Amino acid sequence: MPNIEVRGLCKSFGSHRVLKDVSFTVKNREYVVVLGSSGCGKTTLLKCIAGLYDVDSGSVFFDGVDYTDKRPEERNLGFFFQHYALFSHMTVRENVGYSLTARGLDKREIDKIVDENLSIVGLSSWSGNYPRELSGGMQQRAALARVLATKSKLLLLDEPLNALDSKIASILRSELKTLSKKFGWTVIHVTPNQEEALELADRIILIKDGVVEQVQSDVDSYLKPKTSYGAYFIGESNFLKAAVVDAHSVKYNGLMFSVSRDIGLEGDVLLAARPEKILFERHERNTLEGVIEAVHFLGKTTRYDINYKGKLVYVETSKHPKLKVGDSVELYFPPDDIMVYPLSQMPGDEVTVI
Amino acid sequence: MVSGLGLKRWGKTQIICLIALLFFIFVIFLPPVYVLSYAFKSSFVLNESSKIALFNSLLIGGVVTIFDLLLGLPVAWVLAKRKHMHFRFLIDTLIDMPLVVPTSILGLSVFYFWNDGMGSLLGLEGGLISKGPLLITLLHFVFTFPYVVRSIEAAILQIDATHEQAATMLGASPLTVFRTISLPLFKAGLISGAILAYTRSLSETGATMMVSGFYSTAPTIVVDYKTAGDIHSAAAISVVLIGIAVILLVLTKLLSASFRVPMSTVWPSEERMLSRKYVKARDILVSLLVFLVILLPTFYIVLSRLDVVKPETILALAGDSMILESIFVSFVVGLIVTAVNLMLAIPLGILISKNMFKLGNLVDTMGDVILLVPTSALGLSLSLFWKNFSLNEFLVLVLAHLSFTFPLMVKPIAASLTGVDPHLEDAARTLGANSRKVFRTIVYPLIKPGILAGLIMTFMRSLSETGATMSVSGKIKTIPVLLVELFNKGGMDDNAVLACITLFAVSFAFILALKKQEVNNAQH
Repeated sequence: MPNIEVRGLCKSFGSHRVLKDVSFTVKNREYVVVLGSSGCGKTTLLKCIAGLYDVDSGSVFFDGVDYTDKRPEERNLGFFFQHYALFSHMTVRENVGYSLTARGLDKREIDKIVDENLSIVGLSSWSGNYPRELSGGMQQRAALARVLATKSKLLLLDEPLNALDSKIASILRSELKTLSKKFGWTVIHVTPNQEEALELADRIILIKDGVVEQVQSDVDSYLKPKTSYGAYFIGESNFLKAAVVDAHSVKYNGLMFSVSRDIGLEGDVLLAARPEKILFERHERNTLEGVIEAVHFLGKTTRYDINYKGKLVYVETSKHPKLKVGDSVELYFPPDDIMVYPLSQMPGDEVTVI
Repeated sequence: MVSGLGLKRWGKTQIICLIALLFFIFVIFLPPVYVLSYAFKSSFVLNESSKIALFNSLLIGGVVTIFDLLLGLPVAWVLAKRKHMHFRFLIDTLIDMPLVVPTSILGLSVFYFWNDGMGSLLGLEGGLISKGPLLITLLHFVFTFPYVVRSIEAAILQIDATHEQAATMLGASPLTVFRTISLPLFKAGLISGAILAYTRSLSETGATMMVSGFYSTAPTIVVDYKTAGDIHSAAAISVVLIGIAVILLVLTKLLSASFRVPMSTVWPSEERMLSRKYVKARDILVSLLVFLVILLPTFYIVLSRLDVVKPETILALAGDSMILESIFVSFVVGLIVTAVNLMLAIPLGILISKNMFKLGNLVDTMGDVILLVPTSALGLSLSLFWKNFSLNEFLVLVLAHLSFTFPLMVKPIAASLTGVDPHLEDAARTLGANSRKVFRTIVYPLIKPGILAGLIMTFMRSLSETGATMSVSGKIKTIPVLLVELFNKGGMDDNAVLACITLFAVSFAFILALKKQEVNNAQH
């Protein structure tokens, strides 16, 4: 069945408006990640789609049919809860079989489906245990098996990998992706973690303060985010305030910067550049001079905090040039890698613009 | 290992706690259970009328508890789940009223409602329901109901709502979710509420005496025996009552651990239908019953006899030295008892919450036992105990009240002390505060709601207790005792009714204060 359309969704708690006119569509078999910082309304959005919250206005369509007023138990969705919500008074087997029991299937059939799904997640030998006897990773799998047993093709995942350590999270991430393609799921996955979003998503819906900021494919979300908030939240960016000279050049602090893409704006603009795109090179244009203030060795890469006229520019590179604190360096911003946004659209209060 | 108040060393805290503990054991705990020593006397027999009275009590308790659960469950559910309901604060407060209104006044109100009130409404000469088992049941239903609602509501509030949401997303209808997820998770609250209601019904004395007529329950027969001077029969049935109470306490702990609600089978279509079709009918029925059987009888005395609140009767009451004196005695005893218990409950609350000397659990359970001892048995025990020391009557009254109110004070204080994160205390210590300063600046502000709850409950219980007070009082009478006596002698004049209404108003003011405090806490 599943393609999902969310149209003009609004939801308030008391005087606090959590979702403000949220609309988007999810295609059949698409893996969509809803990304946003905590408190941006993403869990509320998911619960509105599931029918666990009544919406103030707007509608939810599954395959073109309006489901807005349907009861949650009639929507036939698989919902994965943030802290799993495993029933503590039931064994793993009873948990996984709950949706089948609730539908009144007979015992033998339930057992068969439960066994299948427990073996998919590799918990067959734990079926008689209670959730509290399982490790975090196993609880997560048990919860996944419980969702799988619903046979629903449409999955809503609320921060499913959050409470896990990074190693297990990364293993489960790739399993999740494999399973979703194998079973042909349509997925809406909510997370505050941009790496998780980039790894899993076919498309990323970025939410800020209850408003859809941008909807783009995973690659575009990173390489050419539509908004400065996207450039800020997905990956990292240095932001510079500059003045437009013509369609392909701007002036920053008296220095000329070339920009490959069409600027299409006038007056003051906001430039954004990823730390890993900036090079330690000197060119005629697009170059700043600064002094290294701190060096952070991160393993795969090294990160440099560079003082440019009292403000910090971040550069990240995997080449490990032998630079140390106090060295003077030249920073080259390649024209292909400069993103331009209207100055009115500031990414956030906590962002410094250099 | 978090040390909290720095219990590695013996300090002032420890010594104060130890003194409080000794006082607790010898003055608070021992007197109520003193009667148990009669179990070992050769004269220990349960005669025929005691057995009948005991059976009556057990039966009434059972019937009352079943109806409490049937009606209390939906009420608790609605209170727990609909936090933004209209008039929620009012409903919440009204349901708690029978907890704080002195039971003797409740007895009077319930009697007037079902006898005179409904009688004259239906044109019946002798009243609708006369004194006897049915009226006792209706009365017990009124004052046990809040216990059941509160226990269940508290347990429901503990449930993580995402569990219920998860079950919903897995396709379960509301009834199925309730039966297979919610109920198993709050069954402990259900069981403890039921036991509380049952033991309370088993032990209530004063009000029951007003509506029992010639019918005897175990507590009323204790009073009868004692009045007739038959201490041995009174002691025997008291021992049995205490025994039952303790067995029930143990059963609660065992039951709530092992009791499993059947849930392996679900009837999806039937349950789905039930979840929708009859919900409205159920809500209307429950509201009607609560209104008719709980609220209206509780408030009837105020609603029907407001005519006595006028200048003449107030002046008459002011001249009625007997009633005034009783009211005065009640308030003085209440205040003394509250003050002494507070001083005692803070060190003992600390002892319980920190499990000091490894005695925390024991002291806590001892408190539970006092709560469970039926009040007339408790009164008998207290009077037998304090008779051994020829003390002044007023002092005995105060000591008796200290005993049965103490658990009400220490429970909320210990609970809020347990809720204080020990890291906060440690943090304050590392910031240079000594233990007194830690208590004053960190602990005290955090446990203030618990202290307030304890203060109000202690004072109200002291003000309203009838059964045990009767057993220890001779010439000095508290107001509930006087009211029961006046009522049974047929001497309820306007002055007495006005006194009832006054006490009712005081109770209402206290419960409002308590509720406001709760609401404020919830907001912080």
